[in-house]
Amino acid sequence: MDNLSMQTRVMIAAILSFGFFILFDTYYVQDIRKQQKKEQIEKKINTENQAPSMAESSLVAPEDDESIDLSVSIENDKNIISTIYSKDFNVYIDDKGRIGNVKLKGDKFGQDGLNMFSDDVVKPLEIRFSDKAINQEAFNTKYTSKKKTHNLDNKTIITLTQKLKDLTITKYITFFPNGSYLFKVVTSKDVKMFVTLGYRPSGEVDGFVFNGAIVKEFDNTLSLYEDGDVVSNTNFSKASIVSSSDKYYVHLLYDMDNNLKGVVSKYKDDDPLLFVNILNKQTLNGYVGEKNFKKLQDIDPALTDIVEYGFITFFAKPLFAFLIYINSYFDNWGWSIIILTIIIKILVFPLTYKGMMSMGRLKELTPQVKELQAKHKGDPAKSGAAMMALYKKHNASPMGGCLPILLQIPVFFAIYRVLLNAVELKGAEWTLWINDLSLHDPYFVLPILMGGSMFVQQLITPTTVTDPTQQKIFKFLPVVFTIFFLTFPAGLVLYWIVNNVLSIVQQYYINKKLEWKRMEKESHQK
Amino acid sequence: MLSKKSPIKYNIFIFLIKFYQKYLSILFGYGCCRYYPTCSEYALMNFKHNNIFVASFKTIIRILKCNPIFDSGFDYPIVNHKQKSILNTYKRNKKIIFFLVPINDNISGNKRNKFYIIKGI
Repeated sequence: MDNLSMQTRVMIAAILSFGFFILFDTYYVQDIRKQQKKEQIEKKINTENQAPSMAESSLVAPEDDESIDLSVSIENDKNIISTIYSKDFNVYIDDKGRIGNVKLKGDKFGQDGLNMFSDDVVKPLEIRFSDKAINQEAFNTKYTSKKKTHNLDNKTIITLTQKLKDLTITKYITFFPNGSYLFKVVTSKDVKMFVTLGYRPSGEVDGFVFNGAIVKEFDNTLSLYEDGDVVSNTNFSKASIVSSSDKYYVHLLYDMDNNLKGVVSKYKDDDPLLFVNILNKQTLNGYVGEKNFKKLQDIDPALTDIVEYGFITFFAKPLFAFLIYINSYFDNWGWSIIILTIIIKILVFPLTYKGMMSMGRLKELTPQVKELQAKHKGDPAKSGAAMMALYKKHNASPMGGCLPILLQIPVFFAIYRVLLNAVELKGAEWTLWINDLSLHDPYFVLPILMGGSMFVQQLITPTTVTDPTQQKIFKFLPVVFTIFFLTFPAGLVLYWIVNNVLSIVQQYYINKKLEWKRMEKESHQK
Repeated sequence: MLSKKSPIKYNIFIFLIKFYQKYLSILFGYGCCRYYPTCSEYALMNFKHNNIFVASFKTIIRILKCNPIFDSGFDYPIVNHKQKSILNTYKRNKKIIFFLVPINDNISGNKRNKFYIIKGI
């Protein structure tokens, strides 16, 4: 224990805890997914046993790897047969009748806009047929569009036709300005077919957050299929929403009235690729665009479930909803984060206040504490017991306690996930030099302010730590934290600064109040 | 090595708590505890002397109580032992590791009795 210098140990502590932070999140999410997958497989077996005819008729084909011939569609020609122009986005339809790409427009997506999908992957709204011959023929036959360009004001309908030997396929895609659309396929005779969600968007891929597919079942359970973890195909039969997303962007299909049936198939690099069974003349709802909470909520509140924050989602989601509510008044995410922090601080104030008041009383005991420590030098257990007896005698509780500290961790973690995941923060200006809260501070001013405020906070807060070595370590902690926060999103560092500053103000107030009390007492005695 | 007769248990929880005490406590709650022994020490003792379920339960209760709403002070872990004599210390390198101090006065040989565990200092 004493072989390592204290400084080294602090470094180890810091690295371990941050590592733990990230790893726990990643693996916990994986575990949930694995478990859900297992349940699904069990469910599948059950339904097959009970109603074999139904299982057979619904989902046999996509399980057959040959019928999903991925190689054919990968030879990608970007022959655009139709383009939809709208204020916020362009949609390009290619000659396979798919969404070839979506370009998002607006300040935060840069001058040229942002293309949501990468090139050499399976694109959204591609149709696959269970009949191999038809499937092959369809791959080799081009779609035609009635109109080359569409200007989207209220809504626009794109009609795409593919003429095979004995089959005519017509796709109707009705686009709306908010990015949602209706998708309907009409075939000249009934055939079994599937529509794919396409490979997930690749606008912003970040290893720290969830990338992959999510299936929401009618009983509100979510099954997550993360990139690189899909080792076999999995069927689903009672889904309401299926989505594929990266950090900021999403493509999803949903039907709130009927069960969606389909399969999550293993694609290249074990990434998921979703297929949904679609019937002749069936209409599906869809959305393609940024994973914006408010936008999704406006289309259908249930869609917000696919905004995923890992295991802390149960807490992070309402927290973010509240942040959005605050932002509706301020219209500036920076100020909204500050207000949210203040509100959280006020809520936990009663818990910390009592502790801080009694902690102040400790300051008066400092000479006696030092005496005790000198007496039991080098024996922390003994001096701890002696100090506790002293505190008990003076009715002063040394600290706020372990619970408040523990409670802070999930709050911080939820805020960390929310601010890391939120596309709303992308390109969100705060003030002065901060013009993107989702990126790190370009001049590293915020992390340094964070370290500074942490240092002041320590200076002003009375503590039971009187051991010189440990005091040194405490002085050293702000430096460690500053280094860690250098590359964190500015929004997150902002939260931490405000939290520190509020603690300082709170502590200053309490220190003053205790001083007044003491002066009052002294004047009474005179 | 602990002798076979020793009732001291060893498991993953003990490892984790020791790990926390050594490397993580300095970051989160060093010196924040309102009790003696501290929550982590209390948990460690409980996991050493009680079964995992009892120890977990007691630890959770203790942590929940460790806030300004409750009184602070001494709170020693309690253990059930089938102990005949009143003071029986386990020795290692002739150093007293802990004391078992009976809670009730009437110690009977055959029943399991409640003891405080107090670490040797």
